Amino acid sequence: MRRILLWFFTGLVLAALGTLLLCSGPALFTRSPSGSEPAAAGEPAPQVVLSERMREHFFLRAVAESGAINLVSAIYLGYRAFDTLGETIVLVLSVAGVLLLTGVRQ
Amino acid sequence: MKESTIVDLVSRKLVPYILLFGLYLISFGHLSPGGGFQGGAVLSSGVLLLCLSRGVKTTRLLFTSRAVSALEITAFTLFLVMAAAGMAVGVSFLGNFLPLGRIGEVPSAGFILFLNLVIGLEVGAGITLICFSLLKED
Repeated sequence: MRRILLWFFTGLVLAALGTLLLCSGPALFTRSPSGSEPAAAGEPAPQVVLSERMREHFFLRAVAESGAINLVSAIYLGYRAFDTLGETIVLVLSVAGVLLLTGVRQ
Repeated sequence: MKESTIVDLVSRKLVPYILLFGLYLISFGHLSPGGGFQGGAVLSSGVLLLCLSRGVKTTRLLFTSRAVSALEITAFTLFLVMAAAGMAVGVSFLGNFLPLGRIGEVPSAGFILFLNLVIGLEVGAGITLICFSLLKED
């Protein structure tokens, strides 16, 4: 019972840490672009689909920016490495849960 | 358990190549299809083949669960340290701060190769631990 509580508590702490990082991430860990001008009031904003712009950006510049030819790797370890960090936490917690529930003590 | 010569021989010849293929998938993850997760799954499948053909107890003499779990935790801690080192250097959290190198060579993508190695070892150790604790001999 104590081990189950300990495991649950560890998972809770890690989840809280992840949530905190995720919420404060844009404020703490990235540089804000200097000199971002506010949008002009008169003209309407141009309608460009964001996914198309991202696809174009990755296609043209991802190899030069990240140094990886494999673009999947460049995205999940370069641009979206935070996602991979969460996956790794999930894997560690699941291994801990299996070891806890099967009761292996060595 | 009845031993079969063919299974014994083939698995013992095959396992080193499976482990080598897993390491290849991990270390070439930024150049060709593959990567940390896939390479780690291949690594653990090699250990699993050894488990199924030679028995869990014999495999555990080679891959002790203390060493495997130490590898898992070390890899995870290295991931966190490497992620925080980006902040210390001044790029960002999980920012790529190592030099990129010539594109197309193995030690080229800086941060990504290291992360692939760490994730591959961590996934391989994790799935191996799960298989160790779920497989029991009678």
